[in-house]
Amino acid sequence: MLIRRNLPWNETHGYRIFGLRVGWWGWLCWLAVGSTWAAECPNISVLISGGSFPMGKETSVFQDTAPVHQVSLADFRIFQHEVTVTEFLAFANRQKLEFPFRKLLEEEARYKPCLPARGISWHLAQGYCQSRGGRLPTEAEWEYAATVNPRANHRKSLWPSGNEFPELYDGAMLEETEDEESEVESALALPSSFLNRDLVEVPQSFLGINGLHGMMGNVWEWVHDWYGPYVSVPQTNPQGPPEGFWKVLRGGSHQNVEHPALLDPTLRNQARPEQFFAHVGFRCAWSTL
Amino acid sequence: MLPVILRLFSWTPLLQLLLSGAAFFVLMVLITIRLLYAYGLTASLSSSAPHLTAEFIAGESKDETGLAALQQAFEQAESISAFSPFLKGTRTLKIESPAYVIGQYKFEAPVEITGIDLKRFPFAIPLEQAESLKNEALTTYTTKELAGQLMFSKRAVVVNEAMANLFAPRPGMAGEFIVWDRALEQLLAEVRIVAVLRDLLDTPRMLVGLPLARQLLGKAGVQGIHARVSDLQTLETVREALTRKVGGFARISSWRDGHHRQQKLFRVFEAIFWIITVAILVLAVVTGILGIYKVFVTKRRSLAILHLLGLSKSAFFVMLSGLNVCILAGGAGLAFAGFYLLSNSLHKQLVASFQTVLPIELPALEWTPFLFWNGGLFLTYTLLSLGFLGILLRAKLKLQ
Repeated sequence: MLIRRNLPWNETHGYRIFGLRVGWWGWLCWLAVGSTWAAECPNISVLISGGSFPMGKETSVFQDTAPVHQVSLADFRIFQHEVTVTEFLAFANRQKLEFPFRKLLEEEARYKPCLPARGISWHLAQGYCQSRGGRLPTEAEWEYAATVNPRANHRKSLWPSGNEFPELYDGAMLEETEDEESEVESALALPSSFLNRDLVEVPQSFLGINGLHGMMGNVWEWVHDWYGPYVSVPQTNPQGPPEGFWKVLRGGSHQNVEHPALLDPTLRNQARPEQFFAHVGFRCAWSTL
Repeated sequence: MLPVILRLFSWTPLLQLLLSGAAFFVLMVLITIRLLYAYGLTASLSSSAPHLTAEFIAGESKDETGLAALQQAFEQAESISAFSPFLKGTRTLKIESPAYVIGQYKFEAPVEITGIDLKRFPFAIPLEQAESLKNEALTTYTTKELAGQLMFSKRAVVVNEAMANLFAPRPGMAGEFIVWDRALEQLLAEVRIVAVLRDLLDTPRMLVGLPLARQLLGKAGVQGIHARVSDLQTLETVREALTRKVGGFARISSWRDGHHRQQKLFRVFEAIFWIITVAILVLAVVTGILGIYKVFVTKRRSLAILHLLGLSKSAFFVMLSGLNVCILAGGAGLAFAGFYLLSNSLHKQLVASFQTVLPIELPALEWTPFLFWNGGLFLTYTLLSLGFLGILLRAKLKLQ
């Protein structure tokens, strides 16, 4: 029962909390409660204390993460997980937005309301964050939040999981059972300490340092900056180039879990701000000044 | 005084000035057309092809020292934005989709296979020009994910449109395929098509990693290096510099070499363009100058009256030059408006006519050269007219 020990979500909300085996009615009751909780999946913002860190990486597959340069950041707040379909659709309905992935999101919102909103262009993402009084995180803020733990002497780790690449989630890891109830329970208890090959709801996405979910895998995330080469001089609260062709994407998606190099938190993916990808989402950030 | 000034320009000289403005307008339209052609040819032809190719004179080679020397030369060369060692060849392949009944979906044709070293990003063949196919999760890849697919998955390949059109069991979807040698009936590899490169070529092409290319072509080693330059204007300079360095063992060619006929056509067009341009420029300048001159010859009496009324030479100059500049600016404004309104359709038509015979793509139109060309011309023409006006005023204003 390796998984069970690592399942805070399940332990908190699971129906075996008292070690009692309940029947179908119990299961349905739990499902109703669980669904209500999941439908909300509130997105709280986490305060990240500012500091200084070495941004970038000297050697990487795409060579654009060099040179490593010192960046100082002020305190900021960032969403604990990606914006969910429910949250984004509420915004889209208010604004009467039409976009290519709208139908897909509406369908997903019915069954899995806590899936990350995806197929969102940079412009829509920025619009959502502005409607919440925030903005998209800068590239530096994103990398800092994903790899630097301000409470651990601002040490930068290789991955949001620390210096070890997290284990991939495998369905076979769950307890094999012929009992249908247990099977359903196991499926719902996807652990957030493992990387998943599939798109998962935000509470189940990988939980990294600073208490942030989904900073690796699940969906790529838009950040505020235009794509451009790094400079070697130290910078304070960098905002990226004033203009450009591509916007930066960070974090990797569930499709990249087989290739750790693509889930590198320093890796800089890029896409046009008006493009829509089914594996690209976003989260918002706020300056605390 | 205003009615007198207006009357001054009520006859022939005004018409001549208008004619010079019209000639100026025609001139700008011509320049626009020339620029559109230039962009259609220089920017688009190169968009999916390597700009420079250095090929070992001795042919395909396993010689690591030679390759290292070549790589070093490209690394040090200016304006090189990407370069990759390559291996190229054509083989008649039979490609089948394992997802279908054997024989149902089959593709047999000579395929041009280009293998490039994928260790170094960006590649010499720009992946940003490729359109990602949807994977099992119905998601397309970003450019870097595509690059990752090619780098990490030994089976990933990019094909061109010609091949995708001929062999598309599920259009728009990535898929697994089995590749055989048609003649030998020998299984060569299993590949996964992940993207389509829109190069507008008729022949099927496959872009793969170097190891897979070796497997598909039955070759070892590399043939040389494909490279792209960041500034196409420097292409010939870079080529010459590289030839000086590695000319002893490698032959450097540019993408333009493959399009001699088209280049010749373009040169003919250029020659005709310049002949017409110079003729119109001369006509415009002569008409303009004649118009200004005639003002003084035919309206000398009116000018004298104005002069007697106390109008100074500088005031004359300001009035006449103002009128002249207004007409020129009107011509320029018309040209800009015409360009703005017609550029899309004109550009598309021009490029479309070339696309019937050439593998070119429609590039995004750049406005900067247009502004510089026409702005410069407007400035030159204005200064020339004003200079002449100044001379006339000095010589002819000794009026009674």
